[in-house]
Amino acid sequence: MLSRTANSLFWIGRYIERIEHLSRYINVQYLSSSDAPRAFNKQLMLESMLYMAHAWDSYHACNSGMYDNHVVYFLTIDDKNPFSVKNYVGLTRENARGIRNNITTELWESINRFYHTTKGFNRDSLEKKGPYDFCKTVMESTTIIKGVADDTLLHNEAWSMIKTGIHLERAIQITQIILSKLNDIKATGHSPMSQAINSYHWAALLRSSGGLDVSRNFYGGVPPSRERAISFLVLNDKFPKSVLFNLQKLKTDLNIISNNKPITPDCVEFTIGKLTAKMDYCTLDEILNNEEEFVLTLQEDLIQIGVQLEKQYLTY
Amino acid sequence: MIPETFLENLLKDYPNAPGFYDEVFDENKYIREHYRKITDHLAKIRLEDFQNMNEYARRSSFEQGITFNVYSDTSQGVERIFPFDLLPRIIPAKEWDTIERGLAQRNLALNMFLKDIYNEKKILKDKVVPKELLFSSQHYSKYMMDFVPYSQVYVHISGTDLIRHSDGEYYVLEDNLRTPSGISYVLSNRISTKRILPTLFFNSNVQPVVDYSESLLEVIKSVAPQGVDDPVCVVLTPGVYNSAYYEHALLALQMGMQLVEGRDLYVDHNFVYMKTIHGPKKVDVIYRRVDDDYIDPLAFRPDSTLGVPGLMTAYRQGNVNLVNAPGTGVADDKAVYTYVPDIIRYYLNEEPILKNVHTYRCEKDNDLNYVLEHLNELVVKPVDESGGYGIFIGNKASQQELRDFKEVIKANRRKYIAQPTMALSVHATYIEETGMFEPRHIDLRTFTLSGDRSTYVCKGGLTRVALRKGNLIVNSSQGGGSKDTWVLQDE
Repeated sequence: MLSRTANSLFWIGRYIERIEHLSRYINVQYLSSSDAPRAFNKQLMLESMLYMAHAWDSYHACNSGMYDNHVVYFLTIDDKNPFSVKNYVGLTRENARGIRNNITTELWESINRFYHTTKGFNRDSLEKKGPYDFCKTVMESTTIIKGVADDTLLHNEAWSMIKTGIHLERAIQITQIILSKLNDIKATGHSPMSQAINSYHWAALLRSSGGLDVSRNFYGGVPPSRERAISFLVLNDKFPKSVLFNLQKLKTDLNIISNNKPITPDCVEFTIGKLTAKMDYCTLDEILNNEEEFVLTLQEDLIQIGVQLEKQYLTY
Repeated sequence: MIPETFLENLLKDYPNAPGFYDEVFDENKYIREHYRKITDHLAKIRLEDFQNMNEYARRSSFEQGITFNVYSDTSQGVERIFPFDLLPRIIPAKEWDTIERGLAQRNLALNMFLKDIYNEKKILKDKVVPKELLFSSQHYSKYMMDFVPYSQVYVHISGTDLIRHSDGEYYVLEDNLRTPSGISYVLSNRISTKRILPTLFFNSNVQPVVDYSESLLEVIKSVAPQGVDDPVCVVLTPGVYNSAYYEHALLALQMGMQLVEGRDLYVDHNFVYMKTIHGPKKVDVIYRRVDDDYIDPLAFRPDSTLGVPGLMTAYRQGNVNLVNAPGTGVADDKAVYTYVPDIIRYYLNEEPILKNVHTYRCEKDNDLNYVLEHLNELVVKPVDESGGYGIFIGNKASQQELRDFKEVIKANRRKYIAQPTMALSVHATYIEETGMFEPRHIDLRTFTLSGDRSTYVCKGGLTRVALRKGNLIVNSSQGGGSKDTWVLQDE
């Protein structure tokens, strides 16, 4: 497989996953802020969205004031924001077009349709209906695309490249969502949080990562808490969005790509193995000792894996 | 209640186009024998249903991404589809047999011609073709001199454009010997017809076109460098912004080849490699869809970023083969076109099977005088421009324009040739604006493949339609459409 092809496949995976998490986060924040306990205001909700999307500076560079319509528009379909959902969809399609012969017609057509669907949304419809319709459509499309990729591609190194992108990006997005929520909690004030607000935040965290329902099931209906939420999102090896789960998948994906060649300390497979082992034997107490610092370091490690992977396989 | 309209009514109301050969109707407005089956079938279709089919064809092209892009790097480019007319063009088996033999003959001779002019130059020494004509051509490539590619094939893929004149005969309008495009439309038009008119197609004994990609793959593999058992073959594209990108991707996909860009390849010790995730991999044959000028910045245009530095040296060392060979453009030059009948006679000792349009060469004194006297009846073309640009049509010009253009010709005689106005045949075509079948001018791009001791002619081709009324130029860049082309099997 060409390095350029691998590069495009990797980024298709990353963009698709990023689009999905961004849309889910916008949607959840927007909806749950409307029935939040009083201490949590709308302003905070908008700041949280911008923080999660790393878009604080770029938003304020071309907008004055924080209005929900503006922020939602900026993050979803604004052409001027290079990191809006719509522009990410465009980039996904560009990558797919450039390697059209390496993917199936079904996969190409689902991506092409996704592109034309998102292009169909405009400012008016977004302001009238709120972000729900847009985000829902986008999340359904990414799910379809991932399903089509799984069911039509050969499960070889090309498919594994997409999966690598998906799993790496998902782990990074989960750490970013945790950091955003920890940030929200800090911002809600220094006074000891009431039980209600506390529970609200941890539930919102789980919902933003698409894990509220399954975590309720997993914990037998006990309401979300800091311990349970963090443990579930970082260490649960059955939850497909947890960091540990995705690290384990990354290991498998890279086995297919490297064709089981021997692992030396300088290769990305080694770095991934080392981090997976660390997370495998990590206790919840170690994390909760200082969760912000822990998650920040974890995110940095994941980003470095991406850098190393690009250097090893995708540089051309 | 408005009575329902069936296509039968449309066929009855078909307006004649006097002075042109009509492919569907004869002089007495009777439908020609080989079209009867299809018109009988269509006659029973309601106009409304037909319009829906038309719309379906359009949407299907759009979803497949078969778009003729006007593309920009903002990913917001306008994507247009190449309009596709549902009424197919039909060629009877006997007519096709002549065309096919003629194409094979013509391309064999042109390949021999290319080998000769870049090596022994016998045809020049025998003064059959004037050497000034070749050496002054901008497509004569010094990088091809004294070199013969594997299997002695220069033009592996040739796109010969045919027209039918008012005398009912086919003529070759031009040869395209560099990187002819259009085959993807042939393949996708056929898919659309099969989807939209399945029963009609099933009952019509049409020759298949789907074997094109397989044959192309065989041709490409057959010309691999000697000693390579299992050649690695790739398709080289200028990239996603090229208007024919869809075609490059489709062919690569169908042949199971890697689609590469210049930046994916490099040359080391005169071998070509592609950059893969597991390191370099040697490449043996490149089906390149990048023009000569851009394939190697060291040999041709130094500012090209589409090519591969050192490719021409690797090629001349025999370590890689290029499909088509560089420098073939010298033989599809419009001035060389006029000598093709002589070229066929010279190398093959046969009479040409396909006719050439009679051509006056302005550099010859007698011809120049004729052209200057009869300019209002002629079409004058520059020998070195493609895409229908720079054409002067005598009978559409004013007196002043005629006078001015005579001076232009005299100032640069080598640049111009003149041909009598050819009356391109017309074909009934559904016109949305009027809701009627109307005559429109058509031509036919054919595709001929030449490999190591093998020739394949695609049984069909791209019938291009000039959608604007009365327009004689059928180029896609000039607002044209296309038709599926059915070559019938002998019954």
